[in-house]
Amino acid sequence: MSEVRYELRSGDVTGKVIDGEAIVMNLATGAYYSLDGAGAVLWELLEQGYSRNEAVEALYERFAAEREVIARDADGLIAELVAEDLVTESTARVAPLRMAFEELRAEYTAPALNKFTDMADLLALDPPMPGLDETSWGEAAIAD
Amino acid sequence: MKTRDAFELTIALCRREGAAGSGDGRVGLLGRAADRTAFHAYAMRQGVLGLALSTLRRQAHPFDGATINAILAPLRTLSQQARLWDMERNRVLALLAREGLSPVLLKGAALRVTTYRAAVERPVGDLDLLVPAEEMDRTVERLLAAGYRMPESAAAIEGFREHHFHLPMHHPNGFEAELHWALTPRATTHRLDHDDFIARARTAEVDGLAVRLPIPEHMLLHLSSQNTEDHFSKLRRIVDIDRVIASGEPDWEFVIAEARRGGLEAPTALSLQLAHHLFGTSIPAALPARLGVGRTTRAALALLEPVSTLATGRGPTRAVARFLQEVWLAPAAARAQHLKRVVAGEDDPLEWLWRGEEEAQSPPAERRRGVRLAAALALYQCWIVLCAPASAATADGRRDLRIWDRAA
Repeated sequence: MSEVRYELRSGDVTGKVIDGEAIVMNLATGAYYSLDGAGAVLWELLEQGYSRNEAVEALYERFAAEREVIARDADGLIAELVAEDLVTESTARVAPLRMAFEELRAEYTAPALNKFTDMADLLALDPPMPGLDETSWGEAAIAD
Repeated sequence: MKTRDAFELTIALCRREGAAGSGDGRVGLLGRAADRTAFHAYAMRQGVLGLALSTLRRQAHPFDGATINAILAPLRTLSQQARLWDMERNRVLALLAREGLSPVLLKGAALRVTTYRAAVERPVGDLDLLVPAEEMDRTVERLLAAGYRMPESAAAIEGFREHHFHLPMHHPNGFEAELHWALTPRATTHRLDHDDFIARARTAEVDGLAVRLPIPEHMLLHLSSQNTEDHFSKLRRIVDIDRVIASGEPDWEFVIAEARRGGLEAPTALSLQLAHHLFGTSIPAALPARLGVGRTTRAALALLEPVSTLATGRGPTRAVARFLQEVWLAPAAARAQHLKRVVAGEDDPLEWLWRGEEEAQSPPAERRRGVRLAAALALYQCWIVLCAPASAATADGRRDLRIWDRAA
């Protein structure tokens, strides 16, 4: 398993990493996901073609944590990604270009895959806002 | 928070950095939870919340950490929304490219990659694609294969094809795409040359994809045309115009010539003048005159309070004011004909569709508005002329009446 590489599941899954957060969407299920910190980096590594072992080594270089902890967390996250049908084992065996990190040995928190199932709501021009849901966007509390 | 405060604060936060008048003392209002929520809602309705908050994030401000976090809280949601749209844009364009199809990206989806710093600054509600006629059928097929669906009613599809200028397609997960074969509804008094949009489109690399985009001059004309469609109710479009111009000096001779060729003189003049008035946008001297927009038309449009109605985010509140605006925005030669269509209820053959009558499976009998609407238009025109002196006595009224200042 350790040298296994992964690829995005079919044409329905796409992901994008910006400002340290990965957003992944699965059009087949209508769910989207958010990963940040080590999770976002792991997603990017897998998307670039890193094997599980190569990804763990890269994460160890990038974050200040024990290799065993990183390996355990990475295995957990990869299992979740597979279970959510976001990635599947790849037959590719070519080693990827090595990613260069701007920051090394950064503070580490265990990666978490946050799942959301309200994609249609989010895509509306007036999406619901956490903490602001009491507001009716159409009729703001504006006095004329 | 009063509408005027929300409007002025929004304007200040949407100005380009370094533009005259950037910064506004009203930003302190955001320290109060009720005003903050009201501002979020107002800027959201105007379609500029992401831009306004991005500006605030870069600026020095007087707030503590908890308050600035509360002010910027919606950015996370808007950022996620923007990324989903960008990913879907890339997915659709890649699918089409594999089939040798290369539509021109329009409107928000094009503007966010050409004129804004980040996607979150420009929301999109759908993916607008201008498709060459010979590629339309294959593009529809590819979108169907990608999970998009046509409108459910056969009458609606027929109505769009017969009277409209694009076909809306919907993805069950919430994405919308509009396949344009033209750029203006058939019933309007102006035309944009979609073949020329396609012929002059430039190609840019976006996320590794070759994306076709309209030239800035065409973007300005298209934004002016869209302003007529939503009755100059969207501040976002005025901001778009400011940013398009700021991203590179347009070929003004081309813009003026094409506006005149397409009957888009007054909408272009008013759109550019509003951008100049609100955001200090650089526009050519004597623009209305060069576009052939006369004093009577200018006065009539100013009396319809373009700035005040833009501030509400809803456009003219009275239907009669909307009709009157349409008439004055039409080229002089087409005005009488358009007035006749409006009065006869023939200005929008798809009105039945917008009213949610698809279930009927066919358009209802023609609704004739008749002489009552003609009389209402005439009376309303007289009324706003008579009210002009009273309007001039208020700050908001003076602002509206001076919309064409510095135009000469």
